[in-house]
Formats: sequence, C-alpha cells, structure tokens
Amino acid sequence: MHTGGKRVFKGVERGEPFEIEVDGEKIVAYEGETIGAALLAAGSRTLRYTNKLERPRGLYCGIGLCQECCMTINGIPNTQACQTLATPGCQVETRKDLKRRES
Amino acid sequence: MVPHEAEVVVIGGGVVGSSVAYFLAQAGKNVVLVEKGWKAGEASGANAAFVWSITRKPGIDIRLAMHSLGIHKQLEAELETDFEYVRGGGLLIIEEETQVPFVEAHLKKRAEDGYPLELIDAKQVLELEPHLSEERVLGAVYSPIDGKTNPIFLVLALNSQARKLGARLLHHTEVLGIQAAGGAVKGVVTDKGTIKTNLVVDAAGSWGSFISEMVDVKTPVFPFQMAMLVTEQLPPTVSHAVMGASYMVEEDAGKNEGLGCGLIMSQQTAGNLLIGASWRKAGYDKKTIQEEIELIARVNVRAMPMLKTVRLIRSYANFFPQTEDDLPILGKVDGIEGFIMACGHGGHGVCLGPGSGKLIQELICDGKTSFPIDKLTLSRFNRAGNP
Amino acid sequence: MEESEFVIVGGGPGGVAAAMEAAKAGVAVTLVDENERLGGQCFRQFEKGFKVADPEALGLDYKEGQELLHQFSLLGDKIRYLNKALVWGIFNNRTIALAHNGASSALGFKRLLAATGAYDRPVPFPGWTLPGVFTAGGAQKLVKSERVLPGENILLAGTGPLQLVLAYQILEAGGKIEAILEAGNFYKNWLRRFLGIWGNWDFLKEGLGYLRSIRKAGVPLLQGHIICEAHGEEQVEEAVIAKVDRDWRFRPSTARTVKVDAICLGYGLVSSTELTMLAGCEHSYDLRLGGYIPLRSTTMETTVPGIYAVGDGAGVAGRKVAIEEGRIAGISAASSLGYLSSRDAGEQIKPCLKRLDKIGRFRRVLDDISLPRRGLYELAKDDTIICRCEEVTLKQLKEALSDDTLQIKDFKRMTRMGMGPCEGRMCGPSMIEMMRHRLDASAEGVGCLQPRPSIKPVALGVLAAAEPAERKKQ
Repeated sequence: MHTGGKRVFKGVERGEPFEIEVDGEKIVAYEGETIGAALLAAGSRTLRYTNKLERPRGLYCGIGLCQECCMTINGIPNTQACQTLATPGCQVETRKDLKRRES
Repeated sequence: MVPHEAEVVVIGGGVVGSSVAYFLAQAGKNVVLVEKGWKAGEASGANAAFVWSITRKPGIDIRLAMHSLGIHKQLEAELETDFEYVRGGGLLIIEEETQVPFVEAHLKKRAEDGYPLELIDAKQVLELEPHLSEERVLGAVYSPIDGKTNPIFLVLALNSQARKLGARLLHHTEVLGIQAAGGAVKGVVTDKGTIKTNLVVDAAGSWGSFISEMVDVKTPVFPFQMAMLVTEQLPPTVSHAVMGASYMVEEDAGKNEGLGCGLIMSQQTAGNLLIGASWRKAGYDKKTIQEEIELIARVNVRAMPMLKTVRLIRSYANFFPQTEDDLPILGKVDGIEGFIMACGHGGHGVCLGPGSGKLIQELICDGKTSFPIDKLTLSRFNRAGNP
Repeated sequence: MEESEFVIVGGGPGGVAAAMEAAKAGVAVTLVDENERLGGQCFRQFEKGFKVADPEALGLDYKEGQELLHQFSLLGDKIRYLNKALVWGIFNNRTIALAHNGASSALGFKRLLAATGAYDRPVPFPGWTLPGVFTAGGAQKLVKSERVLPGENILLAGTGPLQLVLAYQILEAGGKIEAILEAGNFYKNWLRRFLGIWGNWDFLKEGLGYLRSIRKAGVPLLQGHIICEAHGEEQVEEAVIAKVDRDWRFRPSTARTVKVDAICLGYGLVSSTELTMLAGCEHSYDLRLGGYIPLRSTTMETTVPGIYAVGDGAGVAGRKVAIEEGRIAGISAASSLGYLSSRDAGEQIKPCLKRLDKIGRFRRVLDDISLPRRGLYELAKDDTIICRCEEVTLKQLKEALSDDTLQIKDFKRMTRMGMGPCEGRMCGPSMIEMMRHRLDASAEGVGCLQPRPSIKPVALGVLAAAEPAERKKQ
C-alpha cells in the first residue's frame, strides 16, 4: 500500500494530536490541518469516486476550486476536504451514493 | 455563405424552430433554419425542462399539450440521439389551504372538457416524493404521463437529424430583413447573404415581433423573465416533475406583481436538480438578480428541507415569449402570403414545441392540421394586442 | 441593505495593500476574504494550531507576508475585515452577494476592488485525474502551510522558477524528489532570467540558493522535458516523461518511465476573473498573463467605472506587482471618493509606479517563461478527461467540434463541459487553447465560458437564510 504522504515536523510546533473518523476508521490529525492533509498523511488519497465512470479522485488544486475533494463531513455532503479544518471526533465519509442512475 | 434558395426558411433555432425544421425535412421539404445565436441559446436552453399537462387549461390549451406529449414520445423513438425524456409523472402540490379552491375549479373544468385529472392525498404524495416536507403537502394533482426532458439535447437531436434529412442549419447568422412584393414573401436577407424563398416560418420566440415587423406585422409577444437554479449532482432524489400550486394561483393572478416565485423542481438524468422558479418583467435582461436567487432557494428549501445542504452551482434566466392569453400564435397571417407564425409559446415552449413543429409541417404540406388550430392565429388579437 | 464605501474582494497581497492605502486616507473599507486567515495564496499563513519554530526556514516570501500583514493589523480598527466570507455574485454593479456566517446577504459599494488572485493552469494529459497528481499551488499549500509531503518520491513537472521554490520547500521538509522537469530551456540564460524574475539581488541570492539545494540533493533538473502520462490503479504509481522540442511537443522515442507516487504540476497560472466578467468589465486574452484579463487604466480601474482590479487576478505578475497595484488602486479609490486631492493622489502613486516600472521592465521575461507552447495541449489522448467534473473526454469534444461548432459556449451545451461544480475553471482555459489550435481561431473568436451566479457553489440553505427582500411592486 502506498503511504501517500508524511507529516513534517521541522520548522513548526504542533499541538496535541487527536482522532478523526474516516469511513468508520480512526486516524490521527493535528489542529490546523485540513481534513485533506490529515487523510494524505494517513495514506488515504482517494477521496471520492466519480459519478459517471466511477474513477478515483483526490486532492488536486488544494485551494477550494476544483471540487475534487468533496466528501461528507459531519453529515454535510459535498464538503471540500481541502478547505475544512480537522476537529476532534469529526466524521468523514466517502460518498458512495452518487453513481448516475440509468437513463 | 448561405444557400441561394430554399422552399422554407425557418427563423429561430430553439425547440419550436428546430421541430418545424425537422418535420419539414422529414416530409421532404428543402428547409433552411436560421438562428442568430448558438444552439438552444435562448429560452430553449434556460427553462424548467417540463413536458407537462396538469396545469393546461381546458379547450385548445390541453389539446395542444396532449398532442405535443404524443409527439415527444414519437421523437423519443425517431431521433437517433437520446434527449433524456422521462415520463416519471407530474405532481402539482397543494401547499396551502388557500390554493384548494383554485385547484378544485381547475379539476372540475378539465373533467368537463374530457381531460380529467387525478387528485391524491398527502400520504400518497409523500410515498411518491419522500423528501418533500409534510408541512407543505396537503395533497396533489397527479398525472402519470407528465415528466421532464433535456431541452438542449432535444434541440441538438432535432438539429442533427434534420441535417441528416437534408436540412441546412445556419447558426450565428442574423436575419436582417424579409423581402416581400405584391403581398407575398420573396426572400430572407441575412448578414451572410440572401435566401430566395416563398415561405417563412417565424419561430423567433421573444423576437417574434422583430421578425414579423420586417413584413409590417406586429406580434403581441412580450418577454417575460424567469429564473431557475441548478444544483450539483445528487443521487436519485426527485423522480417526478414537481410544481407547487402557487404557480397556478399566480398564473391566474396574471403574474404582474414584480418579483414572484413558485415551486418547480425536477431532476436531470445527470443528477442535477433544476429548481425554481421566479418571474419578473425585466425586458430583454437575462441576468439573474440576488433577490430571485435567494427567493427560489427559500421556496425550495421550505418545500424540501434536505436541500439545505445541497449546493447551487449556477443560475440561469431567460425571457419567455409571453402572449396575453398564454397561448401560442400558430398559423398563417392575413395580408401577407407565405409568412407563418410559430411563436409566443410563453413558458411552455419545451412542452408544446415539438407539437407545434408537427402542426406547422402539416399546415405547410397538407394545408390542414390534425386538429383545428385556427383559434391560434395572429388574427385573434386586436390592434391593441389583446385577444 | 448594508453599504460600504470601498469593498475589497480578496485578502492576498493586492487586497491588503489597497485596504491599507485607502484606510490611511480615511475611506471606510470593507475587506472580504474567503479563507480563515489573510494572505491569499502568496502569503498563506498557518492555521491556529501551528506554532512557527523557525520563520527564517520558511523563506523570504513568508517574511514579507508577515511584515505586510503586521502593517495591516496596525490599521485594525480602520478596516472592516470579514473572513470566511464568500463573494458569490455581483449585481447591478452596485452590490456584491456574500455568504457569511451561514447566511447570504447583499453588500452595496461605492467602489469595488477585485483582488481575486489566480490558480494553477490545468493541463490535461493521460492520467492527470489520478489521486496523487497535484497542482504546484496545491502541493505548496500542503508542504508549506500544512506540513505534509505529497508523497514519498515526487516528480515536479512544469515551467518557470516557481517550481524551484516548491522543490526547495519539499527538500527542506525532508522530502525526496525524483526529478524536476522544465518544459522550456529556462536555465540556459539563468543569470539574466533570475535578474528578471526576482528583480533584485536579494531574490537572486535566494534563487541561487534554491538551485544549490537542488543540486546538493542530487535532484536532476531536466530541461526540455515534459510529463506525458501518469499511470496507476487507485493512485499515481509511475509517470512517463520525455524530451520535447521547442514547441513542447514530446518526442516518443525519448519517453521513459519513472516510479513516482506524487506529481506536482506547475505550468503557470490562470487569472480568476469571474467577478470582473460577471460585472461586465471588458477583458482581453493574453496567454502570457493568465488568459482572459480585465482591461485597466493606469489607476487600476476596469472599463466599468468604480470597479478596480489588481494583482494576479488581473494578469499574473507576482506578489510584488500585486502590492504596488493594490496601493495604486487604494489611493485612486480614495481620491475618487474625495478623500485625497488628485494632486496628493498623484504624488502618492508616483513611487508605486516607479517600483512597478522597475519590476515591469523585467516582467516580460517572466511572461515569456509562463507562456505555454502548443505541445502542452497535444498531450491529451482521445480518452483523456478534459472536463474533470463532468468526465468529458477529448474524443467527445472532437466529435462536437466536427459539428460546425464555433464557440466554447457551443461545446458546453453539446458536451456538458463546464457544467460541473468547478464552473469551468479546470477545463475552460485548456479548451480555449485546444480550440485555438484546432480551429486556428483567435481566442476572442472562441469566446469564453460565461460566469453566472453563484460563481462558487453555495449551499441552498445559506441562500435561503438571507433576509427576505420586500416584494417589489413594478
């Protein structure tokens, strides 16, 4: 499994780590990180599957424009992971219900 | 470069003009369609996408609608490209007690005319559309044959097939004038050349009068702005064409009061919801205003609370070619030979367009239509533009 | 409805500089920004939770940013600053629509400044949508401000010196870079170019420092190279790279595969002009400067009176230019509102113009470098996704093209490209270039996607929470 990314501790001090839940599993996050960064650090890169062709997508533009990182966060669907700060206990889900119905 | 001549020149490339051109090409006529902008660039590309009969009034209105619904079905089978026509059913939601008398009166008149409608209770409505808010559903009128389509794809499909059948379609080409002599049409002057023809169909929608005035005929069509919102794609959420009865009440009241809004929603095949709709008299202004966007959001979130977290990704507005009696203008025009009207469809262009196309084709080829439409000619309006 | 004398949209260097100048002159300024903290992309700050242990290690731009933001904070009570406020529309050129604190509202203005910045130029190639492919800007935000590396073995591909900055930051953070691909031959004339880009000796020193770090780390800097493909099942696993000719067309015989798990694409920036377009300002197309950019007078005013535009959102030219332009716009707006005589305004603008001129003289070099060449838009194959949101492939676009399509708006209708939630940002710029090359058309002939409210997605609940306006009688 690819690890996806890793946290850098050089040059900054972080607060205490906490846990967030992603698709039922717990991962570590730090205050000040976005959910996208926390997921990347945990080796999770696929954040959603596309509606038509069901292809994997993840972080791309990082600044809230491309809409690729949309996930359900704390029950609110289509929330951008790159724009949402991780908070202790927050619930993150990959949407599985968006596949287009047959015409 | 435009063709030198044609048997028929259709002016206007929206759903009405495209339907006329398609059926004429199918009947073997040498047709040229001239559209000043791009494909489905005006009202045909910015509407509620309904193909619907519930709110049609008794008389010629419902007959036109039923006929056109049949033509939609026919096109679904005939056209090679899919235009996402789905007869998922239509619901006219009774949202408040005050709407009940209007709805009941409508049902009565429709039954008397031989086009009855079914009334269902709130429980049944919520079974059909479970995301609707209980508080805003007292019952509904239900029609299984109503539904939605993708109007842009419909226009593209009509265009593409018409071309295969020999029609020539000129987009980004503007009609500058119509040549007439001795009370008869002789040709159409465009910004890219002149087309010799004895027969012109004015399917220019909100510009219907701009075109007819080229032969000194005034058409009482005025632009009526309506706005809708497009949401991001959702899983299957709404399966019917849903309209709120406030629409019917407002329509009755003449839609004269500044900014108004009635519930309209449907889900496109791609998953986006088209929600609306607001209306206002804004001349030829296609821009949406902040108030109407917020108003549409308010009305729809009240009707379907789960929409709170659904995101708007764009809005659109366009003006519909409205007539005083809310009926289209179809047929020949007194005093000028070879000039046929096919415009003024108001907010019902998508629904009635294909039917109008077929009727105009019949009129041109056979001299008569499959059911009488003489009540719909321009002559029904007096000088003041009132019917 | 609320009104403000001078509304500034965007809290990056341009917006902040403008706010300060206008506020100093006495104007009632409202600065509106989407993010949690000021700084935009250039001067992105850390979120709460991070404590900077070593600011020097974070580079010159961080220091500059902190200095500017400190100056801004000194004017604190003179400037009304709304953070996490999204501008989703502009209406009648007199009000902007705001989504703030969960509700939509209208904010009237006498003068408006669009300082909306820019974003990474999207470049479609096979595999570009795989998780693990980042824009340089996105990667920079991760590395610099969130302190997470994009991958274990990173490939940088693009053009221009901004890649060096990213490379340096990755190496400083302990990351491993497979190679840096430069499509052009930038480094052939590096001394002259560096002078041009950085504009002064401080930056030249810094630039040389970046090159030194890269060389020391043994990272290959391959000029005249491009990434052709990215492969992988669920994410990037390898990339195909190749040499290019002067037009950036890759030579298949030189293609080779490298095993990487992250790719950072830096092919220049595209200006965010949704606000100025919606306002009806006139734009012209300049590929060097970021695509469609608003026409402006020397006082930074657009063709719509009372609306100004500065910074990367009005032509990509970097943060120094953004700051000077911001100052000019702030002073001009103050003068036009009667807070400064034209003479005083002229005096204050003079040194800004001087500095702009100094930077501008060398700007053409940067512009030349950012200019994408034809080959960049020939990387996509038939099954490459061009519109990411709607998953429209090149093949579908080609088919639509053959049907006498003339303008990009036609493509949108026929293929659904541009109809997704990114509202055409990730596909529009590439489509314009692709259409230009295939149709041999001018960009104006091809047109552009028309922004419509809302210019970014807004939740219906937020819109519904607006204060209802009174039903107007005609």
